[in-house]
Amino acid sequence: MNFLNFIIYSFAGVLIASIVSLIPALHVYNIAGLIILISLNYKNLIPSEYLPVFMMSMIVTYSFLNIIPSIFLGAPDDSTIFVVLPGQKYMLEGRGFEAVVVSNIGSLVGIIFLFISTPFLFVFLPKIGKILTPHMFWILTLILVYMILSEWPKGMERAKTRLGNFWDAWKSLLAGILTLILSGFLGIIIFNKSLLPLDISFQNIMPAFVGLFAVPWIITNILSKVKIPKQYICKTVDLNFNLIMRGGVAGFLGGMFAAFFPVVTGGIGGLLAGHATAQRDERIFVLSQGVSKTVYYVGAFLLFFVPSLNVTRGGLAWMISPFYTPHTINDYLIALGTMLFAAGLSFLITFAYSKFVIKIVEKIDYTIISYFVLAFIVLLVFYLTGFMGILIMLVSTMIGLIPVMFNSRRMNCLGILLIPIILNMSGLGPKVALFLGLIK
Amino acid sequence: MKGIAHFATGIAVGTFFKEAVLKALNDQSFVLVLGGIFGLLPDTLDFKFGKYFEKVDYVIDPDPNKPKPQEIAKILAKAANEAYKTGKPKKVQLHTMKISAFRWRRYGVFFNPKEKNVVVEIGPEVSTSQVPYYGTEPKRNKVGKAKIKAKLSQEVLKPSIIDIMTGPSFKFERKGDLLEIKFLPWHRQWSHSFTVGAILALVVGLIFGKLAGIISFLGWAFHIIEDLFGFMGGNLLFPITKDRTKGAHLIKASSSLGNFFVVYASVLIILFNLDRFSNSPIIKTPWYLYFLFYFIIPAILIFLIAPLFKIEDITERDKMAEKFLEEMDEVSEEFL
Repeated sequence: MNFLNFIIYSFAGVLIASIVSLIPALHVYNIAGLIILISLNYKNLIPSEYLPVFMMSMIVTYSFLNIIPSIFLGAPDDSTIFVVLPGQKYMLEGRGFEAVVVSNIGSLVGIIFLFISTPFLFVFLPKIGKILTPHMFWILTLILVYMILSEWPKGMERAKTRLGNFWDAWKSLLAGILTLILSGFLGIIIFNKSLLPLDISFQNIMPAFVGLFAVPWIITNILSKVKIPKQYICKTVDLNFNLIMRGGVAGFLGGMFAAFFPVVTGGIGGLLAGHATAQRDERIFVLSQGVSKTVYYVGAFLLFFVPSLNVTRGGLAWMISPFYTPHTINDYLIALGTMLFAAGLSFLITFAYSKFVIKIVEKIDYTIISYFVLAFIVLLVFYLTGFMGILIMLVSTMIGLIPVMFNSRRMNCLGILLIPIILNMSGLGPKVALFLGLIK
Repeated sequence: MKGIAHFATGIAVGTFFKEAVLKALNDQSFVLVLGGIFGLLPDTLDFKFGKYFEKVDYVIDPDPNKPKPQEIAKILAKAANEAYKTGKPKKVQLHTMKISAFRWRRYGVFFNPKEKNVVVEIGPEVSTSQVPYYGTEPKRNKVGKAKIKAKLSQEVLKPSIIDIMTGPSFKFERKGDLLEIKFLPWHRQWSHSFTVGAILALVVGLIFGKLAGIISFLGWAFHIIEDLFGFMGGNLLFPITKDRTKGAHLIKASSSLGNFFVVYASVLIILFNLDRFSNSPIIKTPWYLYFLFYFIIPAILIFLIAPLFKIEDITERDKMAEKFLEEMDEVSEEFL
């Protein structure tokens, strides 16, 4: 491998991901899919040995920078959904930059932990993988059950009757269960019968995710007419080693869990990280979510390079697996080196990018920005997935608005992935699809 | 213990049954999931059902903008005195004070057995993360006190700090010469009994088979056993036993280290059991060495280094509670 080419492809990955990350609702996987399609037609564009370098740089950068649209533009994806509420709270107190910096430090901590965990990945993870892989079906069911059972009632208990209080509390719980069922139903349809034309069917899930996670939040911002106060650009953040360690360990465990288990996304990792930290301190929470999302995205891709593990996790690994197969420890070391290089660059870029976005949100009315972001998302979904994509997005938005309106956990929208996969693993998937007339 | 710890324990207990592991592996059976569900169920029943059907005698809903600590103390004392005088238990529900979407007013309630009174102190405004906003404590009319005409007995001698979401309830009940004060009287009663667990497990067993019933009961039972290490205990043989026992006071339900150890031990047990019941086990170490190397030694190390990573509690709830106690002591000293 040529060192100069390594630098060029790393920079290219960082550059492209840094643009993608700032565009609300555009996921790095959407662009990665397009780039792979282009590189198939133009063979010399990215030689297969540099494909992992390019992709690793992209995913690292995306995992650092995707916090910015989540906090300042109110357009989260499934991995940043938990951080939006505290993040926006920070922003409404004029401390949005601080939230980005804390999350950015978390992302860097996640990268350091991934680097340190190399012996664990090589020695223990293959064994754990061998034990757990045949049991994935019921483990994923457990996650689904835990998501339902661990949701907390949100009622204020001021109704006149006990039944009134009970109903008040259960409204949010029932809304959560309804969200899970409806998103699961949508997932069954999408997974069994691609609603998009075959040539763009790899973008199948994108309009659904945009509708479930990003659009409802933007609509909320528009309706609530959020006013952004002047944002304070802090010179230091109130973090110490102990806080970083607490948030770091919790976020790493949550992120690794999400990276290792199929279908479990960064959002679920974030949920577990939140439960594991059990801290009321928002700094730890935001930090641990930063760690978790980076470990989820980057860790899943890094696992692809562990020679004895033989696992393919995360969208990116699935996309490049037909074109590239890692063989030796050298491949892992190159991936690790790229990860560190891209992380260093991304850490620095995040500061500049967030200052840039702050200037925009301070100058322009936030409602106008929200309208603009919404229009942009609709156009983007239309461009990438056509009219059918817009329809999927609309249906998903309706489902995604349920938890917003009833104050239940938005993570229930992940039923879109969990329910169809669990049904398929249990052998019930085809029967359900047949019953629904999705397959013949 | 937190829900995730109970959930993990319930699953771990189920994996001791070879038949259950093989069923999950070969027949896509949900039987191990039942352990997790029943591990969480006692608290689910309390917090999602039981608490909403509790009948209270008094409701205290303070005005967040003009809280009247004396009024709150008076109502609490009135309920306590009535319970003592009539011998009929009285329950009081205290509500939180919500100022805005993200802002609440904190207050504390302390039943002082030395002074035989109830003291209510209004605290600062706090965020939904329970972090106080400095300088928001009321300048006057901050403390209210009311006399209780009985000797007091309570599970934990500590002020209750009330701030976000929903407030607690108290039950006053005369027991001989003493007036017993029970925090969250609806919690850990019928739901935290082996008898109710056994009945529910029997239903599960009749529907899904003997193994499912046994795993469900064990998941439930281990929840109760784990809770006995805390402060509140449980009503172990309801309806034969009428009230919850006292806990062993060995671990706080919110202890992050305690919860972490339980989850970690459960994960190790699950891995060990799944492996030993598989066709080609890969863990060659005997069970005692496995737990020595992977649990006991790391746990000791974590326990030793954990104090080095202690972080400041920025919610200052405990600080307010301590200050409260110090103030009470000071008043007692002066009084004596």
